[in-house]
Amino acid sequence: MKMKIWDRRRECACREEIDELQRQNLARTLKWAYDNVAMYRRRMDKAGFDPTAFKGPDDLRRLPFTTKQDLRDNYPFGLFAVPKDKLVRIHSSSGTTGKPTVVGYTRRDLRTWSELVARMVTAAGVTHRDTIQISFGYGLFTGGFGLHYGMERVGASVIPVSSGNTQRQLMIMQDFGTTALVSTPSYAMYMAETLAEAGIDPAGLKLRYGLFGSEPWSEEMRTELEHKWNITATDNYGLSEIMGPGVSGECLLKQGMHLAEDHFLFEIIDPKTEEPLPAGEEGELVITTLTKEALPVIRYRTRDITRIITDPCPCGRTLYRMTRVVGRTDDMLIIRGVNVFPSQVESVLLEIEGTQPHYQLVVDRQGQLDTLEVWVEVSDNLFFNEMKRMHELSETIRSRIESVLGLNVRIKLVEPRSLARSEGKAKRVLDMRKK
Amino acid sequence: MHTRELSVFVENKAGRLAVLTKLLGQAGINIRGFSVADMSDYGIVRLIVDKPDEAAALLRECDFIVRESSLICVRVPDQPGGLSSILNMLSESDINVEYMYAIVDTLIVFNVENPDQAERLLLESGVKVVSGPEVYSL
Repeated sequence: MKMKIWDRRRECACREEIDELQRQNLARTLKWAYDNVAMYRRRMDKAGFDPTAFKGPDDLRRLPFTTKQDLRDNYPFGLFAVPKDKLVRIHSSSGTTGKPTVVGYTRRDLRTWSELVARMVTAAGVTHRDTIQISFGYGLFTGGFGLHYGMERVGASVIPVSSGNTQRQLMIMQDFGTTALVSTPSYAMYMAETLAEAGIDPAGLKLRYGLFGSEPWSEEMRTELEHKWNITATDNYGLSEIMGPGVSGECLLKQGMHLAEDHFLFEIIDPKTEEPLPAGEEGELVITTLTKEALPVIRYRTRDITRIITDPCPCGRTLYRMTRVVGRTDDMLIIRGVNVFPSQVESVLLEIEGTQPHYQLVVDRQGQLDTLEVWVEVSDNLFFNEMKRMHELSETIRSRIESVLGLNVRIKLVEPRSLARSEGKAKRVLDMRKK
Repeated sequence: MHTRELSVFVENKAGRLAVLTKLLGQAGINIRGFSVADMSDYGIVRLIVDKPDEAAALLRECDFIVRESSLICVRVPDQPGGLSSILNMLSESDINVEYMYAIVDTLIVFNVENPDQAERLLLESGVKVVSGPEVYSL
């Protein structure tokens, strides 16, 4: 298989070169953050850390982590290192559990972002001859625009369909001759089902590649997607706090996602002890930006659990790889691309029940889409001797949770003390999508 | 005097009813009437027992959720139209029956909106209304 490499000089650089590039850029970033962001200056001063005397990545370990909470605390622009007139783009998270996190880009940041997405999509098989259907939502979410600009950078023909309206998606796919699809894996599954229902043979489509991301998925699901669409499907990874999509992505060998090590420094830590783990061990991914101007981020805790592969990849790229994200350290769930926190469900139940509820979120993937069930233990306040009222109760819980989450849920009432509790603290989530 | 009923939430899982009835049996509590209303995930088990207080305490101790209700128990004339005559009386007085079920022989318990009114009405119409203690010792 002949595989194109977008930026051979960087993606195939020798380790010494990457190390040296990281050291130089890290020194510059630390100085930049110290001079321009009050929070980082305070933290470095407190740690007795002199950014001008920085020697190498090992020194970085003396600095505290940055968390999502830090971004919230500094809402909206408190961690930005440039004045607002230097910003050319602002994105934001949905902010379902409080203040959203806001991220910004200078012109150079956007150029870097496009460049890294171009690199990622080239590794996934896309060239300037392709017609790309972007079925990620456009808007504040970084997914749509991130892929859009990267694809344009490659020179592909971009169709910014955005998400939803599956019938129209399929019509465009057939009529415009889409060759690569960008979406969440669960939406691609759903579209495949609709395709089958419409009696369209995927072999008759021009579609060759699927670039799927922004939610966890499995090898089984890849196999199914490739079979159903008759395509090659690759995984990619990114997060808005760091940049958006383009942080890492698979090449066509599909054995881990190549990390953009020339723009980010990756560490793996033990999420409990917060100590760095040796290469190859599974732990929480921590990222430091190396070239970001608008929003430099130092030691950002992604909460994503993965492993770094240092073995060389037969594709020729020397950049290390990370495995599929196997889980998250906190309770946040991504269901059909929507961030779901157990605390949201808890507050609804608390409102209805009036006391601390015992419940469990059961997430599964049945057929095409993620399913969410909320299991609730009945209590004196949640039990009536009439079926009619029990049914009304279930309906009330269902509709309130649905309006808070924006997702369909099924409510299952269960007996008291039947839900798993670990060391007195209830297990709030049972995610059966993970294989 | 009304008949007390215990409603118990039971998940649709194999063996749950067996556990419930065994508990009562071991405690020497006699079940005088029994009905199950079920949904796909769970059911409501309705019990008339000879010692309602003891039974409720025991079940709560074993983590069951129990709700108590007052029902009226009626001896239905054992003849064609027997049940119909009673239901007609209630409906003519606009008393809504939430549910009803037969217990020991032709006795039927009713959960109605207003048990006192219904009881008076039925007694006045010559229907045999059975008191709680009588039911428990049938």
